[in-house]
Amino acid sequence: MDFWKVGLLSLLCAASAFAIGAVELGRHQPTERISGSAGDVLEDDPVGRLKVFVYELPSKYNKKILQKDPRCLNHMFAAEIFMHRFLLSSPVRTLNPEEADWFYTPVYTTCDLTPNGLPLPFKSPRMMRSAIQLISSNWPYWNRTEGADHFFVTPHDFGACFHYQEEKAIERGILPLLQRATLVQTFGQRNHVCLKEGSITIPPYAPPQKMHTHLIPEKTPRSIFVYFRGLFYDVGNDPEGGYYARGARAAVWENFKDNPLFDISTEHPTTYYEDMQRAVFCLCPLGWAPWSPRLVEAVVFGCIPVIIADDIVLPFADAIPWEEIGVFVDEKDVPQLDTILTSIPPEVILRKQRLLANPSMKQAMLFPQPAQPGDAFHQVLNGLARKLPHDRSVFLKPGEKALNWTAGPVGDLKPW
Amino acid sequence: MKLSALQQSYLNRRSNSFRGSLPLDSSAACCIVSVVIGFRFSRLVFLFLFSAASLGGEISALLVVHSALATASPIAKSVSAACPPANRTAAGSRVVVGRHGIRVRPWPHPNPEEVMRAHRIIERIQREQRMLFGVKKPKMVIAVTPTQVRTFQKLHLSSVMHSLMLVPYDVVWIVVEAGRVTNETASIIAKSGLRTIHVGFNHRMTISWSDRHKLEAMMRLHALRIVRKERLDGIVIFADDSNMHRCSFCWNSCSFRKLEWAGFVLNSKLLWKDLDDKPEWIKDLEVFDGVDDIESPLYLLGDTSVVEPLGSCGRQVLLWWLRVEARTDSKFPAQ
Repeated sequence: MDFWKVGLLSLLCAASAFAIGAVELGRHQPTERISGSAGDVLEDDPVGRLKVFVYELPSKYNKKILQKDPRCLNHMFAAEIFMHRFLLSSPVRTLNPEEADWFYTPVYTTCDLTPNGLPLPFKSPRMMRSAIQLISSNWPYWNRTEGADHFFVTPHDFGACFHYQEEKAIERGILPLLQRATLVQTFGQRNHVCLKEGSITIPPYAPPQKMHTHLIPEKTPRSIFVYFRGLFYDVGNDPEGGYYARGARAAVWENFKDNPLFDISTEHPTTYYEDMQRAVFCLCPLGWAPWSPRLVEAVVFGCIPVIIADDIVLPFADAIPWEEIGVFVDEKDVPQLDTILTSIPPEVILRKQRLLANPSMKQAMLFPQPAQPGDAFHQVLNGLARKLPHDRSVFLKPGEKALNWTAGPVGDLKPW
Repeated sequence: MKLSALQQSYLNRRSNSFRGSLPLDSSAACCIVSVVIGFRFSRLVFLFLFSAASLGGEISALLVVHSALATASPIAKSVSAACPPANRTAAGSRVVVGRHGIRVRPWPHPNPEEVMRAHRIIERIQREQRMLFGVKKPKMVIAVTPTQVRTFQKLHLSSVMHSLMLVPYDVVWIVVEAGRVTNETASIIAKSGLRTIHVGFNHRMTISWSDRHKLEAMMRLHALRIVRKERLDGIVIFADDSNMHRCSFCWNSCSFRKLEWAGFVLNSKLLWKDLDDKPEWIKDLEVFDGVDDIESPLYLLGDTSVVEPLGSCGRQVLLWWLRVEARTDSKFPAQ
């Protein structure tokens, strides 16, 4: 009697183990090692190199918001939720804040959605400010560094500027209370007020399970030269064009809509993922913000990303040599896209494909449930670990103040 | 022809919405609205702007959009001129925020040389894919085609020729012509660029269908004798000139319940005379000397249990029979 129960339990455990293994995206193809400016670090193991303390906040900052609108689990900003869940069960978590290297505040700032499922950013600064006030009142660790050993996940369009329109985001700037903290964000553009030095740029969330179910055999010939599905004009927000994507997407359409080498359209087919696996180049132009999940999809499906976003800072840029993997095209050069892509020597293209085929490369783009070695969660931890030990300037002297708690727009100072 | 991008954008609802009401700060109203809507607007729009506070954000936005579409006046220029110039993202940055021109080059048509370069890139990538994931040591394909001069010969023979030209492996094409070798047939297959063996078979093609089938079977056997004599090493396929082939047929072959010659594939070494380890279940070709009643390629085998399907048998149609012929007294138009 009990013997059979034990047997059944073992069988279930074995099945579970197989299920986990099935999510692996590594496939059998010759690849090259990936080395970025930080070295060959994609497969580093952060366990033992850092300890993270997770603040426990009232559920109105995280869980309760998600209960109200579970769509936040599926959209491209979902990394803020999954990072929280990952840290709660990660071996790098410590329950003793005295031994922590980093402090994490679980606040979901992109989970206030419109009926269409787009995040409303207008109250996000107040929400974040309220969370910081809470941790600085209830724990001593914020005040001793004023946030310099804290990290926040701010995956919105322009990160901690908390707006989807660039001019408004620039006018607002990064929330002043976060000026000493490390920001983990999808937005990355050099010399931009919304990207602070020392930030960790992450991929947007793209659902790993869903992508895995659309894999096709690797021998399927790549017969599409250039592939893109998405908007060219944002008629609702920019009827005349020129603001959306800084005009780059409209330029793609106007120059190449009748070019047989370009498979481009706004119609998303059911075979979108399959088609990416039959394409050589996938266009990754900026939208309202420079980044999009399209980059993740291109990497996972081995389609060489063509980055059209001036001065973009791509995910984990110190671990991944994006110049060797993708093709960077200036926004002003969009009209010459066909000349640029056809003039790349085939051997260079094949090398980019070999780098893309590296399983570590694909793994680093994903936030799988449960977490796996080398995934985006671990890349964030590796990035935080590379910042250790903290500089002496992190810890303030007694009486020293660096933050101005009343800085920023007046509207942001209202209670949340 | 694709729909215009604007039409497609309207059909696509993913982004066609505002993300909520914007605060109407009076000091920056014109800049905010010009950023959002991107229009030079008229006096009429001001009326909607100042009454927007009493309406929902999206409703007022739609009103503004429609009215802006309807009217434009010289006042718009002076109003938009009052807005400050586009901002830069930071000191030293080359990226400019705000409206950008949509760059369109004067002559957007593709350059034929670049198109050819793209196709060469694709061909190179696909060759690499076959090297990595395809057959490691692909065998030569030995294609056997019985044919005869007739009205529709060029139509059918060109079709099978084009299929063979696309096969990314070595191909030897054995063309067995009823009667004798003719210039008409030779001029067709000469365009293939393939290695060809063009031989005659000293029987004229008959009129009745059943007699044609018998004669074609004998012609195929004649080709198999050539394979043996020349000791060709590869995979024999029977590419009748009235068949349509998918390229992947040369990778996958299925056996059918009623086995047509065109669905049958075998290793050419089985036909060699002095093969050392020749299996017992294959009959020697000499058995068929003088025989004129071979209905199926299964006659070549002493034991049909060795026949097996290849690939994902039954999932894909790899071959069609397109037995279209003209009346025997017709002529193709002069060329």
